[in-house]
Amino acid sequence: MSGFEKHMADVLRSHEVAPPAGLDAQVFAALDGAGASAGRSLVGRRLGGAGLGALLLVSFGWYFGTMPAEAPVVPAVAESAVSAVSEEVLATPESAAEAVVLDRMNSAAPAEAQAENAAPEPAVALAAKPTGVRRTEPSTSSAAQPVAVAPLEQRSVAGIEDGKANGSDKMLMETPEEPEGVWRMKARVNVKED
Amino acid sequence: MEAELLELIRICKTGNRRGQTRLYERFTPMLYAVALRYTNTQVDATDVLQEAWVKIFRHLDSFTEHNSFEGWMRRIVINTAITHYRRNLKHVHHADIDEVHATPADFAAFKESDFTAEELMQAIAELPKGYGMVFQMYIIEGYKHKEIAEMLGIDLNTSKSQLSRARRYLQEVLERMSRRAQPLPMAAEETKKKTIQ
Repeated sequence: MSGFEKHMADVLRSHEVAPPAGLDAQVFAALDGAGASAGRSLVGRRLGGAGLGALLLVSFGWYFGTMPAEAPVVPAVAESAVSAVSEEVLATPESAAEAVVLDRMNSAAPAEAQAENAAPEPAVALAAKPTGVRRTEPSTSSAAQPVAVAPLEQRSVAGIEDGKANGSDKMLMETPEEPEGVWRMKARVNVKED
Repeated sequence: MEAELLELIRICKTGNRRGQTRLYERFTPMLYAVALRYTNTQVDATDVLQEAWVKIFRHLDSFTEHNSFEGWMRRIVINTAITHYRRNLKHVHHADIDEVHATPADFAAFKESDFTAEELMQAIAELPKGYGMVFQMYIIEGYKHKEIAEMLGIDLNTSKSQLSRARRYLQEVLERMSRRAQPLPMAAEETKKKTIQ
């Protein structure tokens, strides 16, 4: 360091400049503000934590409190029939899937003719697709009562391609025999009348 | 450390506002000069000093009486100024290094009495920000390159090269200032003639 640099350092180190007016007020206001905000943040953290916990408790309480005592009854019409067909189809190699369906359709053809003569075609409950996966309130009318559905063999099954029962058409159904809150995924099979 | 200052610090540690005001009034002109040197603008210097005073009062308990109180406060101001500089780095435009024309002249060419403190501050303010910081920290505050590198978050060699460039740059600035202070020979002749007439 040269002599000039030392001189410069001495001069500047001891140099003083008058601060702008009002800086003291700003400093002490900031000091008070910093203390207050620190206190606020501490209290806020504590209250916030407690509040969040309380909110979670209330939410869970409300959720479980409003749940129906029994699991909602979803019409399980033709469920076993659908399962039987879909499982069989799914278990069959892709190329043979259509053959399986056609075979079952052909073998049931005489029975279908008899059924047509005997009684009018009942409503097909499978057409009623649940909206989303939301819970449904137990219904006292149609849901509680079993709906008669013609045997699946009497119908032609459409929408089964490539050995899969319309993979995109899967839907979630909650069934009465399952424990509460357990959802089973089932394949939906479109049933088309001839 | 003088007993009066120690007592004042002790009072301030209790949060006494009158004691804090006395401490503020005593050291603010010196600290404001430091802040002004590192920021170059009054607005930034005011911001830095305000933030630094809050830190000083809030962390007064961590100050041990064996150390220099002035040095401790000065360091807080410098660190705050560095933080402020980094925060606003995207707004700072550095001069291209190629624009700095190195001259072999030495600071020895300047006389100590040639410049006032204000002129020296003005010369330092003309340095590119990065150079100015390294120069002040090394020459005025007496930090080592290792400390400067750590504080500024730069490489050790960068600190050294920036100091070298700052010296060259400052030489130019001081030379320009001294040339400006001297009357031009032609102009002096003209003035002389007019006075005689």
